[in-house]
Amino acid sequence: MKTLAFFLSLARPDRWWLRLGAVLAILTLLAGIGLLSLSGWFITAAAIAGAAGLGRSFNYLFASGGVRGFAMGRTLGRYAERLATHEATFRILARLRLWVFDRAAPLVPAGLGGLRAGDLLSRVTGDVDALDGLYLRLITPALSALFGALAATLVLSLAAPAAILPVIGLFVLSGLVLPLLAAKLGQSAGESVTAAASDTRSEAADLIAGMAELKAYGAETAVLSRLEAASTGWISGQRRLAGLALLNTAVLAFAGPASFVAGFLAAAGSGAPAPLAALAGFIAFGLFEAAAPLVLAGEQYGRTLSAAKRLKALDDMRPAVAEPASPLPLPEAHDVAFDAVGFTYPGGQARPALIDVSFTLPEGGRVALVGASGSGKSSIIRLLMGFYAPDSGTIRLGGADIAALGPSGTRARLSLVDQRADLLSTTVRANLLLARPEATEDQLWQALEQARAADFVRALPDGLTTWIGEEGRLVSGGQARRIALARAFLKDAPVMLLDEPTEGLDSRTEAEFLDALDAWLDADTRRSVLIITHRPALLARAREVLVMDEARIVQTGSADALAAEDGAFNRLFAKQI
Amino acid sequence: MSNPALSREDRRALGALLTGWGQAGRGPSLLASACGIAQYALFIGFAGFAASAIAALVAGEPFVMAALLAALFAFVRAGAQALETRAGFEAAARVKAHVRMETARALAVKGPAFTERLETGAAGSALTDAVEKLEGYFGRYRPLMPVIAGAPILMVAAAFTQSWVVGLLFIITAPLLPLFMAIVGGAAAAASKDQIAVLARLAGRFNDRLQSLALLNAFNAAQREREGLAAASEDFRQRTMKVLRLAFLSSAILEFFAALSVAAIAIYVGFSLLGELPFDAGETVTLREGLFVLILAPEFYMPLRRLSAAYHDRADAEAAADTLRPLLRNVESGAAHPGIGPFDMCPKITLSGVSCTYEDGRKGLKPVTLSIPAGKISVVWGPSGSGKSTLLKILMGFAPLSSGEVRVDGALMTAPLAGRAGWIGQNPRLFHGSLRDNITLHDPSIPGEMIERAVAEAGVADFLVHLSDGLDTPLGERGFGLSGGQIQRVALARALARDMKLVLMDEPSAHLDGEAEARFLDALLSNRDGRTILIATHSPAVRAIADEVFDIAELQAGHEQGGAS
Repeated sequence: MKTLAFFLSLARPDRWWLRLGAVLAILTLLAGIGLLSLSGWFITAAAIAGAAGLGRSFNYLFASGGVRGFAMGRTLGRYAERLATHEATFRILARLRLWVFDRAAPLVPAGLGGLRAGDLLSRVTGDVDALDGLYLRLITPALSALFGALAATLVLSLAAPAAILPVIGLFVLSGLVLPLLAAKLGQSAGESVTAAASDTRSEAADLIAGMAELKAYGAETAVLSRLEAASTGWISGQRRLAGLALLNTAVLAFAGPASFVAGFLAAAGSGAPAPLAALAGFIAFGLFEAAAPLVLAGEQYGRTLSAAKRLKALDDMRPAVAEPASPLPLPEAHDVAFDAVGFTYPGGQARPALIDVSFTLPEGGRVALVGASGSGKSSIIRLLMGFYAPDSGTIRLGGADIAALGPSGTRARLSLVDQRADLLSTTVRANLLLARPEATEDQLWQALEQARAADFVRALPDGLTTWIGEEGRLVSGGQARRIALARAFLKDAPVMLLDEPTEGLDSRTEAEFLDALDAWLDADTRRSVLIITHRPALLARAREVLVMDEARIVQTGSADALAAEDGAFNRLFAKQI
Repeated sequence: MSNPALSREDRRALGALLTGWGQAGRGPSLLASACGIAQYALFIGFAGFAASAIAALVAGEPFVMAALLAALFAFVRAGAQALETRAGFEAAARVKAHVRMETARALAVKGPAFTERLETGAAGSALTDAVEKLEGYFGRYRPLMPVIAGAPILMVAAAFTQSWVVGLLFIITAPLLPLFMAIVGGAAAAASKDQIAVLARLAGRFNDRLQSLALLNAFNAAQREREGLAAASEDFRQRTMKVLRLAFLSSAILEFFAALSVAAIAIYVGFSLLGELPFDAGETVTLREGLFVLILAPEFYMPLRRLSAAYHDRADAEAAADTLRPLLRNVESGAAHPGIGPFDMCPKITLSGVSCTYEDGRKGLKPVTLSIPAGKISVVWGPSGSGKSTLLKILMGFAPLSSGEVRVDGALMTAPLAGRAGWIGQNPRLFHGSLRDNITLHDPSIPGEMIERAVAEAGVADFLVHLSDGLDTPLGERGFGLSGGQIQRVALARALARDMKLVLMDEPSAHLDGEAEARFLDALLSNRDGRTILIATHSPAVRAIADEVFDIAELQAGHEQGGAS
């Protein structure tokens, strides 16, 4: 409840929309109850008056006016309510997304509590979707059911008090108790459905991504039958869940008419006059219109609550590297120095990622980092970027401790081209502008030229405005990498960090990439580069090579000198050079 | 997502596809419809007895029996309603199971030539999420169609037996409703389909930016992107609300008619009972009859209201069919592989004038002629895009053989070599399951000692000691991850466990660092005896262990000259 209250407080700026929606929902329900019960009362009372020959003196103005008023009120109320609640939902959803974005941004990429950042983010995405319905499907139905029941109680207490217990009792039982009970019973079924669904997903992914191997060994039929078994398991889980929901539906379908009969019998039994007994029955009938959304809300309650809890946990997470309260101004120089840096990844990793690492990347330096995968190369870049903080030792940029400069200050001097050459799923232009939002058209093309990317960007269907990334994927791996390089050039930071930039490129594309990099470096002798690689072609261009093995720098020197020694470098490259 | 602007022709094709799928759940779907009609018939019974009970009370007659009978009808009706829902679920479940497997089998027949061009995530979610989206359509929407036609007729007939005025009111409003709804809904539906696409794009943008936070942070751009997201959400809200104002009108009309007819019936019946009708209806309505039609009225519009609530079920199903259709199209009836097992002796393979053009016109390989010697390691060498991988795929049947011929030990190759040759790709899949499953690929006929030998010879044993449960350690997406080099050794073990005499490798070391590549090649070298090994690569280290190197560019050039002369 506390968690839900927290998310409601997040919606504070839009509270008037929420209140409006809730009030309209209540009015609509009351108009519905009023329409049916007034009609029932009117007909019954009219019959009695007509039979007694009192038709002419019957005051029908109140009844016929009321009936028409309720009919109009109900229609308009429902229409306005749907507009108001949707307006509120969209506003709050936008707020919720931005709230999540703000909380998540400083946590990435370090993540927290042993969760990898990717896991955290994909979970967050699902949870935000689950909270979509919090206001629309949980809060509004609950409020209108509450007020409907109150209004019904009030009218019944005046008209036929004996009917209160059976009508409200049945309503609470079928609209509140049963759904919550079913939600509890459905929890384990729900979990097994989730597990079966992800089994099915895994088999489907195996079939599609592993098709070549499966066909080669004639094993596709085995995976097909595993997929069939997983799919069957999934569907039987859904059947169990549907069975529980079915019970709700059936009880609800019976409870409406049953409470009509019960309300009528209780009122008539207590000696209420016929029109009021009819009124009691029809009130019960009208009230049950509010029960169906309530049942749905009950079914979703658990899922919504656990999503809300997980999202709220974001609030308590602290970033791995905090911005200092008053960061030092950036120094003019940009030489990088690691001094006895030690680091172990958070989350209970036993093995240190870096042990006593010291090196310098002077202005104008060209340093290559080599080593087997897992030896700690990428950790050096992650620490320098301020994604993580070292456990011991210091990292300096232009002589100042980067802890005092703060991550965003430090990053202003660094350009990173990552192993995966991440591109946002948007246009080429927006991807480039990420590095420098104010860049002119000329500067964009100049950076693309420098990265040897201008020709193929020009050939793209919409040039700079072509949509790329996840959804677009109009560019190949090599092209993506050159766009990422152009972006790094555009940023015009003096220190370039490259993490396996030519991985998976053929030698011609690799050579083009390196020429582009060389030209950029030669244009300003103060520019420096730190490059992680295991490709011999890149080593040849480095002035100094650092060899890493098991979290330590074990060899330093030029590639030629290292090749002559008998050490880790030779084990890595013996077969390639 | 689906294309929001589906042409009329596309929609017809999608409709036909959906109808075809519906056959799988025909029985339960019919049962659901029958129960759907029955529950409205039973409701007529409830309304009748409930009205009798009140009328009896007014008349001072015994009313308890009628009230209890009304409750009994309500009870049976609830049962029919439950059965309707249950049968609908069953219909949807059968269709989903059928479509999922039909699509999976179609993919298996189309093979890697087709699947490698799909995004794994998207295709995987087609088999799961898109199939799930069929549920509403087959479980609710379709079974409801006969109910919409049948139930109102029953209720109109019941109303006519009580009061022709009320019956007429039902008859007049019933066809008006769909008409109004169509007029208002038509414009809104088109717009709301666009809206679904916009919503998906907005959610997609949020998710993409959330996943790319590391990149945004690297450029200190998270704050700027946040502002972009806020503006996009605001824009989305405004546009959506404009559409919804129109879209909600169609359900408001339903709502209005339901409320209006209750009000009209109440006023008509009430005035008629008072004897104060301003016109002569030519009938006298009793209290019982009046109450009966009053209870009936809200329910009369219920089927239509249910349909309008299920409207997006159809849109969902069409979107799903649109996603699945390309996966199902042009499936040739999968030619069953002849039951030839792996080679007993390492084969010699001769290709003459072999070329490949894909169905969509892409050139996979220009004609080449070469002879791959038995028992040797041969390397096909060339830059990426030159067709060296395609050459291997043609042999396996993963790419079409457009011209030329392949001979295996001198005999013409009539069926691709899939099932007879080991295959190691650039990024072998680590299937979810145990390490053992990953080596046998669920083939129980591979004897245990063959697995153990393969584990030792492929170098899997080197890291086996680090795995908690040895061969039974779970791997794959939700299990233990292996490094690229380790995965390649598992892939090698797959081939060795079956003692494949022919092994094809497509850039097996493209994603390995120097040391991992060296280890993999060591394992390969110690298993080379008695095997024909063909490797497509641009790695100098792999080239260095080859007995025979075929430069693909030279071969193609040579073939062109040969053809010209």
